[in-house]
Amino acid sequence: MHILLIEDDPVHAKLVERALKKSGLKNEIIIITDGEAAFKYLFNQEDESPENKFIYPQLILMDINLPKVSGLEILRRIKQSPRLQSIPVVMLTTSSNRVDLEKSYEFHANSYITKPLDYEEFNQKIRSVEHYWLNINEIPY
Amino acid sequence: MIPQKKDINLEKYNLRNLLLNTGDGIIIKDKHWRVEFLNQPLIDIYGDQVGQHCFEMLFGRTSPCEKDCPIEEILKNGAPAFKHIKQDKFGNWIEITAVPAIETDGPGKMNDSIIGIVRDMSKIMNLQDELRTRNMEIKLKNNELENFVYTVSHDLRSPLVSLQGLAGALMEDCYDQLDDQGKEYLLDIKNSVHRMGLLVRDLLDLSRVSRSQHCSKEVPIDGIVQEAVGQLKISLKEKNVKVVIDEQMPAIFCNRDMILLALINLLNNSIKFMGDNNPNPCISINHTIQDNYHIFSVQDNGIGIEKKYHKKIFEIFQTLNEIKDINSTGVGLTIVKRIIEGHKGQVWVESEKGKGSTFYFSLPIEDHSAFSPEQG
Repeated sequence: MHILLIEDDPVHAKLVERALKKSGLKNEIIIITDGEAAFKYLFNQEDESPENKFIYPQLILMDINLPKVSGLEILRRIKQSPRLQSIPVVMLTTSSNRVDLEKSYEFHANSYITKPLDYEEFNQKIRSVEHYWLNINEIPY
Repeated sequence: MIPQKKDINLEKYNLRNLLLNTGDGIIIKDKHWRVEFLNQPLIDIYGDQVGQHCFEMLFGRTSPCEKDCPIEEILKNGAPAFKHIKQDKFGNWIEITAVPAIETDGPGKMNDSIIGIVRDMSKIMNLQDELRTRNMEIKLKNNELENFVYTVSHDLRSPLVSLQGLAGALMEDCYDQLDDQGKEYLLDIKNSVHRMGLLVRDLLDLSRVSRSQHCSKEVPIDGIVQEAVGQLKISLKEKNVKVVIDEQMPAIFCNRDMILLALINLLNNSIKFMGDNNPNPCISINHTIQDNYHIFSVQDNGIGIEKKYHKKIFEIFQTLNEIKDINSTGVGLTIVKRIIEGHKGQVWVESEKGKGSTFYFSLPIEDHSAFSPEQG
């Protein structure tokens, strides 16, 4: 089981990865840096045959402002897909824009988190996300 | 007293001069809209139209005006004066004041004639139009500016998260490997980024005030006060500040999020300027009613503010030079002012250096209309 991190800012991706590792996470973290690549990764797996080796991520952390395909569009498609909709999706963004927040929940995001400016707070939030969604929450896969 | 003949002649002479030389146009017409008299200013514009219909002369119409006709109004209602503004046949704005003519022989008996005073309003109306257009332009520019501030502040958050994160990671991983100067530089970077983060946050809040939607919900203030105090509990605890809240708080019509933001900024301000050696730091939040206004106050026993700064502190980016606080951006009280003025209220401070400060804000009691940021 792995975490899928969809984040176009390489420093942010590095910081999230660092915070997750520091909290003791052993799972693999797959980082995808643009919306189109994330889309292909998730949706070119419509083949339901046993040969399909797609491993479902246990958690998706996703930014909103992504190049090519926006995070909100990917979220909407994930939650419409019977195959993927149970995967918890946490929107992790710098945007405190109310419209982004409301749209995220309209498209059934499981959580919406604004990246804090403060380093300690940032680490703490990532640790809490990791702890809740990986250790406490259960999903059907 | 019966006027002497000499006096009457003098009066007639004066009135005639007045009629002929006044800048306004004078028209006398009968109840069938026929012009009986015109003074020179009207002749200059419309020609000598005595005997013609006034509606034709002024408005180029073939029949009396359907509405706003002073003759109809005065004859029907006996109105002593009737005033209205409309465009004449040349497109000029004119204001017509009409009064009934009084019969000279009878004591105040109304005649069938009407005296009209015609004033050229084109300049005023054009100026008003121009003012309206300019106001619209300013409003648009302001909106553009607010959107710009919002976008810039918002986009700045992303590199700030990176900078804070990297500086934090450096502190964690490499601090011990740095010499004293390196350590100092790293701390300076961290503090500068922290300060910029606060500035961006405050600018975002300020632009949020201007972009706020109208709202007319009645909300209990004590809930907002409790929430504001709750949000600041860490800073309050750090400085060991006691908060006393008036038990009798009203419910008011307001934009809840905005009043919460105003209170957070006022409390934050009090906490920041509490003074380092304050033995008993305390903030009290109170409410009273005065002349149809709710008056709320946030009182502290902090370092106080000299009178000469009482107005200046509400201006943007104004911080008191004597206080070098890394957390001061000079935007907080501007946010408060903008929010309260948007609610048709006022904000002010009473304070003396060394004797604490009381910040007051008023909100109208009767006004159920919504928050309107344009007023701020």
